[in-house]
Amino acid sequence: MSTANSNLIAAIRGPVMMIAIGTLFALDQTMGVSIARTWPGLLIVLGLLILAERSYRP
Amino acid sequence: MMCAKHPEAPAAAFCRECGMPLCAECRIDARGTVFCQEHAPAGGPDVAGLQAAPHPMPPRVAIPGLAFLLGFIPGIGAIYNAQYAKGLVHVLVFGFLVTILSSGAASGAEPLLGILLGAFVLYMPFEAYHTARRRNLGDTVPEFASLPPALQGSNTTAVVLIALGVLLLMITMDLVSLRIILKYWPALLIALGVNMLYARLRGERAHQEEEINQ
Repeated sequence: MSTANSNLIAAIRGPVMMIAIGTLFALDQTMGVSIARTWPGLLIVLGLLILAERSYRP
Repeated sequence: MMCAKHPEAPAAAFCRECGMPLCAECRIDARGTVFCQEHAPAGGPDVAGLQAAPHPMPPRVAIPGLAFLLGFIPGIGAIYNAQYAKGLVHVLVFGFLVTILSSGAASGAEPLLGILLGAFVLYMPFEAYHTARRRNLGDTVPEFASLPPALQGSNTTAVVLIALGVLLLMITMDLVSLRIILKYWPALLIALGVNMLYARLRGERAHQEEEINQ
């Protein structure tokens, strides 16, 4: 079960990162929050995904 | 899916030539793959053919000289060796060194950082060259094999990414300036020491438990 969770999180890493990038660009377009100021959020999301994947690994 | 000749038997394989479904009785194994009766190659089943021929040399997958040249471009040498995470790390390290140097916030550490930058620019090509050579020998090269063992595995990568992200976010959101963060850079050394200590103690404990169990 935990291996399945780990594999699931590893599998959704790409899509989730893509959604995060899209969200940042959307914020840039609509709210005027420049991507130049928000891009480190991507590093945080990636770190959290890796951490979640590892914590489920047996 | 049932066998084409025996409708009561389930198909176990398909002919390589015509795609006919075959049951375990009809399949003919030859040349390392499966054929039906019509398409089975002459010479009978299971001729020691292509499959048995050993590779005299592992296939050449990378050109070390090219890896060396590409290594001068930050990240590209690692990407040439199909080590994408390492390439990203190389780009980030290079970018940070250049950013700190050009921001004027290094407060007297410019010579050290400059030499570090030079050494790093020379490190990348050599690293790519040796990785390409090991790949040619058929070794699988772990992406972060050159890091000290205390930093490998564990959750270090994720924690470093998150900490880096928080720091950079604070800088880009103007909550704190690069100058103030650079003032506290020795905290990095302390954190590294704590991490090494933790790994050492944990390894020691595992070792002791192993001895007790024996």
